[in-house]
Amino acid sequence: MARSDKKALSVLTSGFMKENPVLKLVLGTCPTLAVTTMARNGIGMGIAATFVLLGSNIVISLIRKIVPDKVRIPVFITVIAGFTTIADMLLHAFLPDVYKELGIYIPLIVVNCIIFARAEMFASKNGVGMSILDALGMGAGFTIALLLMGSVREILGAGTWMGIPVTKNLVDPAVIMILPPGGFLAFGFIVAAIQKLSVLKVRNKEIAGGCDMNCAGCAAAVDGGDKQ
Amino acid sequence: MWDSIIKPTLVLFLVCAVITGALAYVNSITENIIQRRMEEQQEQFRKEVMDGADRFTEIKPEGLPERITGVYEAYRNDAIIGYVMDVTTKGYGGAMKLTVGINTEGRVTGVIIGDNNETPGLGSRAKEPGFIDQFKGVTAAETLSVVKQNKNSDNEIQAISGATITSRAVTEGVQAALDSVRLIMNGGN
Amino acid sequence: MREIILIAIAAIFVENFVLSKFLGICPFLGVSKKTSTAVGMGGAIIFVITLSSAITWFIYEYMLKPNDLTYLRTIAFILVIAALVQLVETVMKKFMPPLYRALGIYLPLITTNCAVLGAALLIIEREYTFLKAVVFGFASAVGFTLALVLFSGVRERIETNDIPPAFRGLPITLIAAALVSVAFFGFQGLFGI
Repeated sequence: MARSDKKALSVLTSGFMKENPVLKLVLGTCPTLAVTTMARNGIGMGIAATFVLLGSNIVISLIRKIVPDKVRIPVFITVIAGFTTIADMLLHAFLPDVYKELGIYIPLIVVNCIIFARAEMFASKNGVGMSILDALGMGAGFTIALLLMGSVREILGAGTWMGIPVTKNLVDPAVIMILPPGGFLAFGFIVAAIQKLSVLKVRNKEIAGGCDMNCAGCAAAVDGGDKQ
Repeated sequence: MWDSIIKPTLVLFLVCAVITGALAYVNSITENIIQRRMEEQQEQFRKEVMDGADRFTEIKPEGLPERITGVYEAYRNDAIIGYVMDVTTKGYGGAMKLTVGINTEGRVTGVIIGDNNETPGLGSRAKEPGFIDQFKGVTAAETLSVVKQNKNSDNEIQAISGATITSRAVTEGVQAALDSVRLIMNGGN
Repeated sequence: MREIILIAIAAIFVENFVLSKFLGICPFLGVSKKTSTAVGMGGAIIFVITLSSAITWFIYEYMLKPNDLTYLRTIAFILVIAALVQLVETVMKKFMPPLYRALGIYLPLITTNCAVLGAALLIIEREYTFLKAVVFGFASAVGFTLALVLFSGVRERIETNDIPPAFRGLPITLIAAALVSVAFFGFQGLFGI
């Protein structure tokens, strides 16, 4: 029993750092760059995406045995789209400020590679309990990455953090950080920092190959896992 | 036959049906909340553009341009002090909702920009006092026009640099409201 | 007419999907350094986005809006896109096998490409007419391809440079993208847009 406990823990925590969906697996880059103009928006998106991820992982894990392979992809898409729409409606009704800030990127959660990849590679092959842990882990990792990006961009670009002035009154902020180029810059430097800190040389080689490998993983997921 | 065609189709259909049902349910709940909040906010906007009004009554005059989506008489102590108009205008990123207050002298008392999809940092700056306050005190005496350089008269509105389309959209909306109020007041409402 | 041209120019330069709106990043970052692959990918995307813009517009205007079912747009759109990509894949496999093989893995990826769904959603948000919707979709995809091709050239150059180990791979790609994005930022204010 100790072994399955350890497995559960590793499933939960791998999403934080070792297999962080954004910073290591390079999935879900669109929202990472788009909504991180403020730390608060990053958190909002992270939570919304985690909600969708959780819902879809649970449902897909529950029905995994009765879904024929042929319609696997449309079923996954429908489930994910369903939860995305629910998240959209709930945000609109209960958190209108967040809804306005995140705008079009809320429905775009449905094409967030992270969710589809986890559905294909984990939820469709594991029980509900594990799938929940996986969703929470990956969701947390995603949110952490967004928070990091959002914080860097907000502090450097507006001098505030979560709306609280930090350096605003001391130094003129570098507005470019909250503009599109700043998104690329922040992401680039953060990944560079992580690559530097990463002890695993193997990881370096994989990422050095560019997005190819991981997008291939995502594509393989979409295509039907054959190439995996 | 069962395995290759019927079962997959059935499962897919079932999943779609369940999900659609769930969405319809969530929608029915959230729809009301959203609706209610929008009405509250509109009421708030009306108070803001017509300072001192204690009551608004909706009226439905005929013959107004389609973009006027709501007309309210503003009262203070049971006397009409002006009108508030809900105007929809076409901005850069789609529809923009304006709330325009005009007093009985035909002067604009305030404009508030509500829902819009204008570009953050450019068109969204139309909400800033530097731009929107230009409309205060404007009348329908001369048609409003948008200028890019400094303005020479009250009826010239200086556009936000880099957001001409947005600036024009707001100006057209306010113009429509001014014209409509003139129609209403002349029509002996 | 003038408005349509403005929409097209804005979509390609001022609000470039990749460099300004961050839609379609995955293929952008991971595209092969070969310009020919970038062009092929761009071509496929132009085709898919233009078609999907048209089809989703119809579905929204004539099926969802009249029946008060606008909340189903996310599901409807993504399913249409998935079906469309599947169709394109099948047709390509049959009639253009070499191109199919060259694009290989990137074709099914188009389904989860933010750009396709993003275009459809933006069209609805901006309430475009059918003609404007198609022009917008087409132009946005052209802008995407432009960024893609430009960038594959940039990456080719970077390959031969001496890059600090921590920056190799993804980081330097991102920083290069930042510079290209700055360049495109200069288009803001073009034609008074």
